[in-house]
Amino acid sequence: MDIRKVKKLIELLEESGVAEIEIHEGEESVRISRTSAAPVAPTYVQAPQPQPVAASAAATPEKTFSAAADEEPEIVGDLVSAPMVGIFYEAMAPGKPSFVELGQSVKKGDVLCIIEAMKIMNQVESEFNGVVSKIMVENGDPVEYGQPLFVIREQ
Amino acid sequence: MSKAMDKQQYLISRLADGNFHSGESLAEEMGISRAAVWKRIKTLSNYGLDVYSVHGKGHRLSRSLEILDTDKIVASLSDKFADSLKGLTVLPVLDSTNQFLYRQLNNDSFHAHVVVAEYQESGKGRRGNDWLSPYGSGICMSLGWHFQSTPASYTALSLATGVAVCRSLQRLGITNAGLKWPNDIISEGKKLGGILLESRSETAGCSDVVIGIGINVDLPEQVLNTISQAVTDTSKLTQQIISRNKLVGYLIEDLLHMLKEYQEHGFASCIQEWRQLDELKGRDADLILPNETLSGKILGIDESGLLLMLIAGESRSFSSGELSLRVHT
Repeated sequence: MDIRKVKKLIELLEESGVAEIEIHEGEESVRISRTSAAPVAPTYVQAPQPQPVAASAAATPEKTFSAAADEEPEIVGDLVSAPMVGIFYEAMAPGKPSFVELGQSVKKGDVLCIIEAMKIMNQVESEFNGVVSKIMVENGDPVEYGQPLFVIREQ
Repeated sequence: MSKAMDKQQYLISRLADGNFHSGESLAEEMGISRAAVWKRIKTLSNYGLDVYSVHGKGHRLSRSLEILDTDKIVASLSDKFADSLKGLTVLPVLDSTNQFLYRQLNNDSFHAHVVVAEYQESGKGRRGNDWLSPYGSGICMSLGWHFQSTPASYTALSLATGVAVCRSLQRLGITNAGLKWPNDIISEGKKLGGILLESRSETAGCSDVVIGIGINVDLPEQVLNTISQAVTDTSKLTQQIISRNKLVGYLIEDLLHMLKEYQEHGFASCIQEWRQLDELKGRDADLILPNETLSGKILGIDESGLLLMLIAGESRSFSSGELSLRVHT
């Protein structure tokens, strides 16, 4: 689907009070939902995962949710979004290992992916230290400016 | 540079005149054995240099070679540009000029630094494709540039670079070279050069861009035959061997000039020129995307440099993809 069309749809959604729209066009379909984090809000709240909770809570004592860590902790992470329109690549080249895998530890400055637009191969760096807790796009997907790509959870 | 590389360079500089040099005299000049000379001659073949060795006569290159020279390149620059160039590194052999600059990313010497190599051991094209260029047969060059902005502000830089390269070629009298979106340099459908930009950015803030340029100057016939796509070089287009030092000088000037214009006015500074250089407008083509291939007619580019194609009666724009012309049978 034309990326401009998707952009239009997002604008349309933002202007309206609708929470979610789904469009089918031939074999393609796209669903746009307001419930996901917008690129302007860099904090992403993720569903609880069976991870070593105590460690993550201990590492982030200043965050308010850690008080409730005994019950069902909400794991808050930092969002890395696309700095430009283009194609998302998980590796330097086809057949090469991915820059990062789910669950991998990353440091600030590590390369997470490549976004290509018009033969500019742009390496996107992590701005955070932590663990890759979510990869929100597939290799070869077109991405929009500001589209969320990864969630990096503090350890 | 290592001592071994010094000797290798010396050997190449002696052979560059295209005349025969006996193994004995080379051995004596270099202070090594004849067997060691022979070993180094073999290495030159690995770089793609064509060395003839004739018993009783010695060794010679199949043709003379103008060696890249820092002083000659700097001498060809007008004062204005010599000042804005912050660094120039000329090396015989390198993994790739883009990689070289990438390793300087966090150094002060990155910005406005140009690297040129005679030979790249792992020359890079798009998405891991190789860029083949035998020793001394082309231009392998990269320029590092620091932007105080995010990549979204310079996506069309890739197209603007193509315009800058065409300007340099025009100054050498090559007026029949044009562009294939986004920035292949082509002439009569054959590839003359390629451009690959690599950048590193934080989600917010500044970015560093490496502009990599490869131009075929004088490719040996046997190499032309091994490259899968139709290629050409400046020798074929001008019927003479151009000075690579001069071309590097022109490229430095035109890149610095383009970057200045681009930072002031964006892609508007050269979009008209890009459109004039567009070789594929109106042609039927396939656009190869990572997950699909689309067929349609090329309409040109929009204001931001995106490719416009008419696909199934609808005009659509694309930020990525590889164009392949469709041959009508």
